[in-house]
Amino acid sequence: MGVNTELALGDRRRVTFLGRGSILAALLVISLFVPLLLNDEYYLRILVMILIYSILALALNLATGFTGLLSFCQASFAGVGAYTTAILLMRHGASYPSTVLASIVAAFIFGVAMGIFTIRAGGLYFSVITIGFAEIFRIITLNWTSLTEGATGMVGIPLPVIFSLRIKSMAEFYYLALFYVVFSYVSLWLLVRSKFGRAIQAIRDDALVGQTMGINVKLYSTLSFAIGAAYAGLAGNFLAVFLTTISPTNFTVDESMLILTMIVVGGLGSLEGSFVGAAILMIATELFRPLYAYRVMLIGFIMLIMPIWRRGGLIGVHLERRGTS
Amino acid sequence: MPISASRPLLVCHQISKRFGGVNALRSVDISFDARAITGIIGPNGSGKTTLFNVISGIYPPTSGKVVFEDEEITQLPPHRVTIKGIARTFQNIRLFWNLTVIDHVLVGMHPRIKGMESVLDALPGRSTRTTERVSEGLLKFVGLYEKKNLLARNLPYGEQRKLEVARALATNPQVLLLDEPAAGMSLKEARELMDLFLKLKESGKTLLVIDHNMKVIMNLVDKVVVLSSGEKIAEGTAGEIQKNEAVIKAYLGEETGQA
Repeated sequence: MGVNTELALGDRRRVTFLGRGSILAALLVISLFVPLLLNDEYYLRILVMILIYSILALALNLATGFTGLLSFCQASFAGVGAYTTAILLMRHGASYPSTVLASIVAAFIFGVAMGIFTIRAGGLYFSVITIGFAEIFRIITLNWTSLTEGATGMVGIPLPVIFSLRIKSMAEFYYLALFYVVFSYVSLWLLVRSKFGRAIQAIRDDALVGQTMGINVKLYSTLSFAIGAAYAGLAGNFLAVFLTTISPTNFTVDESMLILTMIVVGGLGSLEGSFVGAAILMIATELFRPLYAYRVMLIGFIMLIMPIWRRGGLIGVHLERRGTS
Repeated sequence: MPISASRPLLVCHQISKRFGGVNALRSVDISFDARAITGIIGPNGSGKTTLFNVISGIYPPTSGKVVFEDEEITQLPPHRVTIKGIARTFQNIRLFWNLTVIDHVLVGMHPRIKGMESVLDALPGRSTRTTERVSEGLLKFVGLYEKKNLLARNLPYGEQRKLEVARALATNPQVLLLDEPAAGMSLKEARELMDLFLKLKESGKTLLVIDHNMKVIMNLVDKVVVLSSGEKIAEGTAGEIQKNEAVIKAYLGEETGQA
């Protein structure tokens, strides 16, 4: 086996496996020690936001990067999780662990329901419908005040208690977020490598051919979209207890665009790229905080240059599209 | 061979397919015997690929029915048809351009990977898995084993065609629909491919081959069906077809004896 020739011809599995494994292990070790070394609430808070947005980006990458479903409502699914959490904790005195499960399930159900009715529309039509869903979600959360408190938002969401352990310091939130991130990454990594992962990538590259390979395209597309939604629900659950106040403005189409930009920057179809994209965009957002109103311009600018400058994202592989008929 | 000497494996009954005002197929009746290679020939636009699309469930026919193993499959969606045991390749190469060679075969094995296997299959170090063994065996069969970790888009043209065949075989079909499998190949490559098809026939597969390269196909097939303007105009052995007046007129034009 001439390893060099294989590299030259684009063998990516072996190369990325070794490189990826050791880099990720090193990153994990470093991230375990960060709160001990970095005794600064402000910076730690940014890191927590990077971690949570990494989950949103990883999950969106499953639907958009791996399955080819361009979705503009990832933040809405986080909203479903966040509101579910807030309502259960504040009105029903539910335990925090049960709200984690409830958020995931609620967002998954929304994802399945949307998938069943919209996947068949296909392509651009599907994307337009996701924008419609995001708007409907915003309008409902804004106007159904008896359920969501409307524009005021849900204020004073209690701190999470996990088996008598009360999460209150920034470092504790950091470790909780890190746990969710590791769980999300490992489970999605396995999912992408499985029969399911190959099927959705086949659908992305050529849905009709995928179907003639025995893949139930509607089922797998819907599931992939809904699983992406479920992870967003988990992120929403964390956001609710971390921010302690949530309102419809947290979960708009703008927010979904931010997540989409993350995966374009990191690389569509690259799980690791999702981290890179989340980090860059969250740090940029912080740096531009005094110019908050220009954030959308920044996103627009990045969306403009990435496809021209580096189509595969910073660490992804350029996904090739060819005419198929 | 005696298994279904009297009862064909796959039957098309009075298949018609209209696209708007165009009659792509008109009341086509064909039966395909098990463990045989049937050639389907005809000029461009004669309905060959449409016939494949109808059999594989991509287009439901306007009228008529498709029967496979005494069971009607006319209204089944394409993935159900594949699971029943009919796989196909495409005339214009349609690979998954961002997947590796071995992943194509693993995608083809999709319906066969079930239960615990679909979980184990995802864990690292999967060389011991049966799925890996089967897929590597298939790649050896078509001669792509050495290139299993390459992206399909980096394969040369002839090998991309072979990968189309390997991927379809991975679904473990009884019937394989091959839509111009040798198109664009050199004569040498095409002959190698035909040898492969003969081996498949010996192993018990039923093959339907569309081709307009008569030279290649005539030595391979047990039976030839000729379509012209959506109608079946002839059926018989290669020798009979070459002498058939209607075929010569419709297909070969005035230049007889070319094949």
